[in-house]
Amino acid sequence: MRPQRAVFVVLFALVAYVSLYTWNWKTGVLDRIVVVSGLEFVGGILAPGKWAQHHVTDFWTRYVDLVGVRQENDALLVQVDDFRLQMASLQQKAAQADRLLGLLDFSPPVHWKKVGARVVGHRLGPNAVLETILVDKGTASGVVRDSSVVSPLGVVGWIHRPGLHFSTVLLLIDPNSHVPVMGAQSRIPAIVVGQGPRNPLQVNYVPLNDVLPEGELLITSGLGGMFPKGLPVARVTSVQRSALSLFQDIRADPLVVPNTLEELLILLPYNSTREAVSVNALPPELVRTEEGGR
Amino acid sequence: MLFPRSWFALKKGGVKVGSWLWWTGYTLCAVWAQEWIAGIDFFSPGVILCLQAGQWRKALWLGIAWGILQEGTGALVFGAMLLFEVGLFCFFFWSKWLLEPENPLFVLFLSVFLVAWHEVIFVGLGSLQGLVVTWNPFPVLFLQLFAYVLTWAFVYPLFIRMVPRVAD
Repeated sequence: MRPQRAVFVVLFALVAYVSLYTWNWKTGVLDRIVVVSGLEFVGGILAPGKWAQHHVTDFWTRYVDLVGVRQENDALLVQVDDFRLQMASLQQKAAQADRLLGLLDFSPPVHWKKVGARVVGHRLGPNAVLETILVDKGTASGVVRDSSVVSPLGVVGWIHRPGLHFSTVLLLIDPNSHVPVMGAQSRIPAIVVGQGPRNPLQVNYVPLNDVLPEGELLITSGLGGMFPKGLPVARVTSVQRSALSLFQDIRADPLVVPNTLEELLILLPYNSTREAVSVNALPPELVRTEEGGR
Repeated sequence: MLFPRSWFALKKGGVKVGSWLWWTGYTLCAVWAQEWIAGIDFFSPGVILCLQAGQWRKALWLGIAWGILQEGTGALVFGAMLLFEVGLFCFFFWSKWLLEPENPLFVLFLSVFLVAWHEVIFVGLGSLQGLVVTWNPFPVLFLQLFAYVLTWAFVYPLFIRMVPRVAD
């Protein structure tokens, strides 16, 4: 091949690649195709294995490994009695809060529908450069991009790429995660940013004069509309004041360890007629801002 | 032996059943291996095997199929794996001028390139998309390097036993 021709071929390939890349970035057509095909194929391979693994583990923990179950059961019964009392008290307070909200004519909060999902994979392959997990629920179950993902312990992340029956979840610990939070006691607002696996989360934008003590629980503030208000996110582990910054240098440990997750819940916003809506269909005041929800 | 060698010689209606069996098995194993070791690529050694055996068309089709699969499970906009595969093909043909493809040193050389190429592409395209994609630490890079070399060293002896029967 003559040099001029080789240069022409390389240039043509480069232009073709950049054109394809830009077109897809704007339209997302190829992304939708590869997400559906890739996730369905890989999920189809991993899900049966995970199902078998789960049932074997479940069988073991339920029927074989029963040492100490009676003592644990007695302790749990005592706890249940305590929780019943607490719940009765809280129900009264919740009913009172609802009545007061009605009197003050506040708009009703967005309702959230829970969809259970099982983790079938973790970061898969070289293209999975972000901290993600693969779950067995997709658009067929009503899951949409940016749906929040939680476990009983707290916030896990949100749906990054929904497929038909499988989706990838971007985890809270990823550096691209930005979650609006506030202190459970102090009510000081902040943004929690992931710092990668095995690193504490960074709590940004807490002014020097505000007091966010070590050990305080951080909960979602509900700003941006991606997460419901009040979900536990992390616990503050260190607070340092810098003379060079307007904000404190605060670190927090996430409440959920992603590697140990097996089942989780996907939360979908509901409108008043109990019909699932996408985040894009939410009212403007609930749609997240760039900094407020990612 | 789990699969008798005669299975790979099967041919039904012009379709090489053995080849399908081999590559289906390889795909399943690679998917599970990628699930067990997060972020590590186990498909590229398969493409290298095809190229070493001179099965250009099969390498192309497998590269495309696995590329789509990896794009789907990945986190970036479509195009990163395409660029990675193109780099693999180009570097393979370039390296052939320097070393014999069957030489283990060739595979080591190619693996070092692929690890470096992966980092450049994914950090570059990640930042182009406004994402924070950090460079992998050295232990992860070495893990990927070992994964390439060890997978090839494990699969190659099995593959050459089947090669005359699953050739293009």
